[in-house]
Amino acid sequence: MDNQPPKPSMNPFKAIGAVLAAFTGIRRGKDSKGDLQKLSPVQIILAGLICAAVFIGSLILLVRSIVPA
Amino acid sequence: MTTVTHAPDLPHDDHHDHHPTGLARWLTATNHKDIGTLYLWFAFTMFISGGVLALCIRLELFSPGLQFFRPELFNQFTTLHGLIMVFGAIMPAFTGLANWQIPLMIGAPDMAFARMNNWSFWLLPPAALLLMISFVVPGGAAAAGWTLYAPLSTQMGMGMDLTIFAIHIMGISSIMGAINIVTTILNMRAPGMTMMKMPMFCWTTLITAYLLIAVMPVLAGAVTMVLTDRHFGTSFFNAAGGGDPVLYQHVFWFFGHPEVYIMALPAFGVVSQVIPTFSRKPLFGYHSMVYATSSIAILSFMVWAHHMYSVGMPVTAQLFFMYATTLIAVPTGVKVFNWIATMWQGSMSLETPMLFAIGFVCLFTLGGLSGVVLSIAAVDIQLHDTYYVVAHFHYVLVAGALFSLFSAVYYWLPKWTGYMYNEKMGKFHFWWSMIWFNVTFFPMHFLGLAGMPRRIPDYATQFTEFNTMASVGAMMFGFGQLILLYNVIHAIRGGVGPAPQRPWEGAHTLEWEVPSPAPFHTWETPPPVELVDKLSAAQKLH
Repeated sequence: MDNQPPKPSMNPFKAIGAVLAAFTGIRRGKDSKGDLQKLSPVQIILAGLICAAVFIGSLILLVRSIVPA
Repeated sequence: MTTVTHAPDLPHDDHHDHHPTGLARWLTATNHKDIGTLYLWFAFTMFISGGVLALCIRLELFSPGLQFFRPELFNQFTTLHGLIMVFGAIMPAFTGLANWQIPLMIGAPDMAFARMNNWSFWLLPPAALLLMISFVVPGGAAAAGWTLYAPLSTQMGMGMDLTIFAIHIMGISSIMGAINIVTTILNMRAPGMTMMKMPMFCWTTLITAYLLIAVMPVLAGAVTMVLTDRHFGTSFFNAAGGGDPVLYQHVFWFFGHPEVYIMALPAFGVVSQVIPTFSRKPLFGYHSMVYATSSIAILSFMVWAHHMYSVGMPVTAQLFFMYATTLIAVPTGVKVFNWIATMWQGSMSLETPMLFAIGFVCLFTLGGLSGVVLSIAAVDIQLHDTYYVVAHFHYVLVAGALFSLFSAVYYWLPKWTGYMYNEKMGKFHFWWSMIWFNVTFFPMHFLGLAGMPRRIPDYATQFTEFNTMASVGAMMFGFGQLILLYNVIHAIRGGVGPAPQRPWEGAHTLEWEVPSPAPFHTWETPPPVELVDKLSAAQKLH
């Protein structure tokens, strides 16, 4: 299986989905195998960084909306 | 019970162990196993030293009033206990484990930078010496707490300078060790051993190494600023000169929180090896474990100010750090769930490593739970700097990191020494530690909730009973560790008999494919791809 050439996926949501699934720890075995074949580590790291930035941004928005100006 | 597989490189191994003997062997060591051994013995020595300081603390706190030590000396004990246990015991112990196990587990002949490895280790004893001799210099050792907060740290005597220097040296050692681990894992894996086929312990060690490289320079920067404030006229942390002592706390905890995970992640790795072995099942959710470890590592950089709610910061910031901290419980929960799911319907047996691993899961979860309590800013204002915090982090670091280290030592001791340890004595060590650990630290939750502050040599009389209980527990826990020492020395001298190559039938990683004791040189010829594939299949890794 590993000897097959990887087929990179250009769908950025796949990588984001993999990162989000990783965070919550819930992922179908089939999808998890698919991630390994279709996503490169660079894609996953990039998606991770984007998710971290979005995570920080949304937390800031959330607390701003709670705290009166 | 034992499946002995012929080690492919066996014929080369035992007859080519040309290395210096005596002291020169250790001083000039470049072999990963020798350096791992050095690290582990160093860590144990520091564990005993830090433990003696802890027992001095508990002796003084046995009853109210000042019995044995001046308050100044008591503060030195608490400070040095923390520094020695964190930088001298737990961190080097995990580096020692990494040195011993990573090349064996990924099929590499040694660490990538063998001579730098020697230098990483030999920096540690001088640093430890600096910490020890600081007790006898004018003004005594550092007494600002292990966090070395300014302005306390900008005021003390030369004991503080020695501590700063020691932290610099230990930091350099840690960074070099981390570079070595990263390079080894990324470049020296056996053919066929892809990243996603690596044992979990290698993954957690790799991520820990990245954390170390990221944050040790931050600590070095913080203590260097303290040093220049002390001696070279700067005012980074001096409000009178335009600086801000709170800056120190931010910089320190930007290091300090990832540091918590530097001590916890390798523990997760050990437990993720031990639990599948003794459950005779593959690790449940290997991929999610890898990803959860990465998530924890990234999140660990976003939560530092939860250590400083009471210092004063905008409500917006308090809420941000509170939410971020609470969310760390998610990937941590994933791990605990996965360990339990691994044991679920497994064919479990309860040898000593497994007992310590299960003890870890139970007590670390309890420590995590009190951590979630402390993450709530409104609650933390009440509990900050009380014994509740002391209870919390000892559940995480003693029942967490230390129990996992005990588990690792019992698990790999047959491979290291070539002899089986005494199982009965190991189980006795576990139950002794488990019971007295809880007698020591559980009452501290009550003390904290009732308002007893940490780092004080005396207390109000209503705290007496729980303190007495904790002191008795600490003495018993402390002296109980001699059981481990005896068991290890007993095993080195022959134990209860020679260890088979694979003493644990459920273990499917590469280190069990070399003879016991592991020969001086292993995997000079990388393991065959078929073997790596066979073991990966046994672990259900793809």
